[in-house]
Amino acid sequence: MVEQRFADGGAVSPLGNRTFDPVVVVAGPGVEVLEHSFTDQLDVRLDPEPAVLGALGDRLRVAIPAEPNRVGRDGRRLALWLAPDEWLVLDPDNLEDDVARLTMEGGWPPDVTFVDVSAHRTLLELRGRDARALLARGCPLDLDPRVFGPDHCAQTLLARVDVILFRLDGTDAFGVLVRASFARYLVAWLTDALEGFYA
Amino acid sequence: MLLISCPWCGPREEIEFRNGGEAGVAAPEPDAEPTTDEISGFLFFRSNPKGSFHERWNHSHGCRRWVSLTRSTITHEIESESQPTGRFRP
Amino acid sequence: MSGWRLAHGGLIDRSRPVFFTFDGRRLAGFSGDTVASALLANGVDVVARSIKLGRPRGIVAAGTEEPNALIAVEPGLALRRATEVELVDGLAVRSVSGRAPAPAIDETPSEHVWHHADVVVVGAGAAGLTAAQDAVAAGGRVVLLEGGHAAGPLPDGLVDAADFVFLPRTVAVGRFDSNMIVAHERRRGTPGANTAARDRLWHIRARDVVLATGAVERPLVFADNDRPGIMLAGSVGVYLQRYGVAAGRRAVVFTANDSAYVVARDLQAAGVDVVAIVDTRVRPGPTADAGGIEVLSGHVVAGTTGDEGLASVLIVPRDGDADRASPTVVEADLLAVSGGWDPALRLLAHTGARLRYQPSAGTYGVTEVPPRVRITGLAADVNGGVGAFSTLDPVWLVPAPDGSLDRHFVDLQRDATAADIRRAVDAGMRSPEHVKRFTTIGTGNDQGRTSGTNELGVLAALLGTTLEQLGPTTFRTPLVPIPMRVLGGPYRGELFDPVRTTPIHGSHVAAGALFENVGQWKRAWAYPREGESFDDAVLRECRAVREGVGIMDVSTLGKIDVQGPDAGAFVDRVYTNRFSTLKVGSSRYGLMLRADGMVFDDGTATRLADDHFHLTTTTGGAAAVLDWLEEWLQTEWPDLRVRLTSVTDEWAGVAIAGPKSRELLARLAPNLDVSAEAFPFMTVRNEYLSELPARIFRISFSGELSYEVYVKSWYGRALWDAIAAAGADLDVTPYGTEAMHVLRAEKGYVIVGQETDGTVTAADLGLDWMLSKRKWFIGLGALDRPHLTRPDRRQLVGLLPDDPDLHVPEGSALLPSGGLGTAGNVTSSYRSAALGRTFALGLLAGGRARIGSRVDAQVAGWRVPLDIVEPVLWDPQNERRDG
Repeated sequence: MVEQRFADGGAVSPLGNRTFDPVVVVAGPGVEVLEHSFTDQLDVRLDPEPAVLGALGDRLRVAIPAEPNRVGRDGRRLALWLAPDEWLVLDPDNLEDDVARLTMEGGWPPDVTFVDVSAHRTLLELRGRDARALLARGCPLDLDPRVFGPDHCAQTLLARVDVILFRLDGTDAFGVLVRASFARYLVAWLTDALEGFYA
Repeated sequence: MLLISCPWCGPREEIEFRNGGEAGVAAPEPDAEPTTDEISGFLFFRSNPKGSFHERWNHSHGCRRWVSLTRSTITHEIESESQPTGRFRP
Repeated sequence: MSGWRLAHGGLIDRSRPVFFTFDGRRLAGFSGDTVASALLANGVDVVARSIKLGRPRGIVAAGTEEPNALIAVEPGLALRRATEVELVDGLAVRSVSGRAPAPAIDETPSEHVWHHADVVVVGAGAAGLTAAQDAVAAGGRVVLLEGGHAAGPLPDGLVDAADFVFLPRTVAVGRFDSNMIVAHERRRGTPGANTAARDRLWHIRARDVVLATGAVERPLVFADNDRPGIMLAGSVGVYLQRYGVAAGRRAVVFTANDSAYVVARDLQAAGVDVVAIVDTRVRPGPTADAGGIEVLSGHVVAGTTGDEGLASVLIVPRDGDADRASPTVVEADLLAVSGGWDPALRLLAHTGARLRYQPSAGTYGVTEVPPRVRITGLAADVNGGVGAFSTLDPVWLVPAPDGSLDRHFVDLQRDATAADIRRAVDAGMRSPEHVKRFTTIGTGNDQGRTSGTNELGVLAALLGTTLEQLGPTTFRTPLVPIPMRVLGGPYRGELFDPVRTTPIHGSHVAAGALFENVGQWKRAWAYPREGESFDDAVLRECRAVREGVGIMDVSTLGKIDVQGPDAGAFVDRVYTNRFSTLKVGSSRYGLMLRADGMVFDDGTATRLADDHFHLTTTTGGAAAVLDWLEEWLQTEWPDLRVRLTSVTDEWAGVAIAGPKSRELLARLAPNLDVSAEAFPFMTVRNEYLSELPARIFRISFSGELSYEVYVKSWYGRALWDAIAAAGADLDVTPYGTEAMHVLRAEKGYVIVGQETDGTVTAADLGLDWMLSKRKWFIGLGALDRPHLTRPDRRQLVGLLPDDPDLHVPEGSALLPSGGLGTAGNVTSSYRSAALGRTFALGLLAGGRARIGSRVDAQVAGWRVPLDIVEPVLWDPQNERRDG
């Protein structure tokens, strides 16, 4: 997915980054916002049959959660529940080999579908002691760790923009997946919110 | 500012949802040939009760599933559990 | 000059004097004072002139209910109540007489905060603090809101509580469904505050709400009841206890209940000469302890005298007209009144709870509270008529000796009197809602806190009815005024609404593009060169596409991936034309209708595999189309095995259009056979551009030979720049949405949302050939409705002004040639480089049949004659699309 490079220039992330390494896009005393550019993402659709979920998890090397709004994790690879028949598998390293195998080997029920959406959204990370409070400036969700735990994810709104929200690594860091076209607006909003936060 | 319970995602703010009007109004089946009365009934006629109203919501900024519930049009109180629409059940 | 500071007492910090100015006068107070308490302590009795009559007015109350003492705070002149502004050194305030000065616009944005709590307590008085302590002790997340500033340090148990948030200067302005409390935290407008601090609008979702909101005392309505020095008795007590301020030196207390007796005793104890307690009741209640002060029971204050401030009060027996001529005149500079109390329960009414008159409590209250809400403290006591609050004998109107009502003030802020209510009644009004609007009582900045119930009492007296028969007027949010900028929060200027940009946006900016908003997208509108006008730029861009080659960013088009065994059947149902027969690798233009038969969206569907389609939608319609398709799939056709996935942002696209586009594409994709035979119109190829996988569609929205090249959006910028570089010697020209609009209009192609407005059918647009007769589709059943088949429906036509330089504005009305009445309107209108003239498209009644005849357009009041022509003005035989 990311191996190909166009003749001159190559890939540019929605926030203008050209590296796989996380880049800080805005920061304040108690919070940092980073972009993890070019995170591979696969949209997986299937009827939630336990056997198929299990087989898929085996092949993708990450547990596919049957429970709504939960995250399956294996190292840096995540499987996020999006809807009763939809998951998003993401991996900042590389998903491509597994996906190629997945589609080549086949053997899935006919209505199981895979769509490469790696460039559809970009992954932001909000980390630091104020990350949660900053999110509360624009997100209606209750992000108290007792309510939104380390294995939770949710599709919701942040600053009136659709996002997928989850906890990274079970720490106070949040992952925010935002559609590429909204990314610059969201960062502008976060920048403004940070300015107010520390005023 | 309702607090709407999505059968999948639990209680979420109304801003995550889009109202879909009265529930239980079936569209004409494909290949059916409805009469003008039937088609205008489907398109234009809805009950507008003072009191309990069975209506649809789409969790459009969440899991995108359609749900139905009963809400009082007087107090806005949601009087029923939200029911999922479609093939899947939580 | 009647108020004074006691030598001791109050919660003020006497070790910290504070200096401020009022209308330029330098005055002193103490830390802990409000402007109101400091003004009283300095003996300032006139704080304003009334809005209509210019009468002198003084401070009446000690809280948000204050009707008179509005002040403008320098700098910026924000309008505030003197009772709410905390005294800080250097504070400069102005009195407000009549209309307030326009405040300066505060450019500092505000914040929105979402919060979640188990218990929200509104009001940090004694009862509120107790409720908060209890809630914290019970475990759970607790928020305590206090509209004013903190009266003192938080009690033990709250100071260090982990899940406890105390928000002073935060007014709960609304309670919405399921205990959503919206509150305004004021962090600006007071000198000394951090100038960069932002006001906050809190949205707090609470499991339980405790209302410790207290109560508001009511004045009594008698002649000349508005003089400075006439104050609410409870507020007189607050100034005494909290600020160590006596509001006068010689006082009369006038009451209809027991609650004012304690104030009378406290005043006496503080050294104020309390001449008498005038009690409307013949028999005061059991808690009425006068402490030796003379009580004139069964008496009323029928009037007052004074020049600026209060000089004397006129006391008469409540019953007994004979004595009215010779009232007892008592000199006094303070008249403390209590007409009863109203519980502060308007937050309950926001979600529909009706307050009703409770005779036993003498106020509008509730007998039932909504689920998960509790009322406590003074609010509960007043609501329930507990203790002193059960002793009221309401007197709504004290007649004047001369029978007049025009100095019986009901709403001090609006300068509205009992005479105004009488005029409303004489004009035939009976409903409190009508009387409110006629008299303007309750419509001021204080929202009628001290006047609402009295208005109804006076109305009932005049109508000869009871208050049980008169509901209160509707209480709406916000409870107290809040600035619009706070409601807007961070969503202003560039952040007003989400903005979407394409991966190629930077190239457009660098090229000097002007942008237009299409939905939330910023699209390049045109690329005027140095010194070139917008119109000239568009003509140049159009010419490049017709004669050479142009490129356009089409990344914004909505894209939906449709997969599954039933994908073909599904696509057949949602478009009017047939797709299930489409060959793999081919595209087709498709039209979607709403269920009512009106045009909803258009785009193309391309078959990538038997069970796999790629749909494009209009830029503005993408989200609505996906929602629409998902709705049918979930709610009507759950049996269809189809999955829909938005891939709009996954792909960046560039249209390459014009006679030289084939040559340019060949340079980009040297291994692709780009001949018309090998790569025919409406087909798709997967091809590597260098090492980059791309989907290339041969498709045209201009009528010219044209391609659309899509790559993963990470590479959009590189694709654009590579095309521009490869086509430099072909003079490849970026063109914007305006040129695109002109080019498509020359071909008679419609834009959904421009030629359509939700009332236009496919037949109206001349697209009835796209309505399949051999299959069902959404909207089919509605097309036979008589109204949709009338011959005089507005139909798409081309329009040519006689004057080829005249541009008819879009939206212009079309009128029958030389006749009257509107026959349609212009939907698109441009200057055309290819046609060498202006032209327009429009919807015209019975338009198809009128082609060849004439119609007038109304332009700036003039009639402009137009020829009605076929809508396709360029290349009607489609001879150009193969290059």
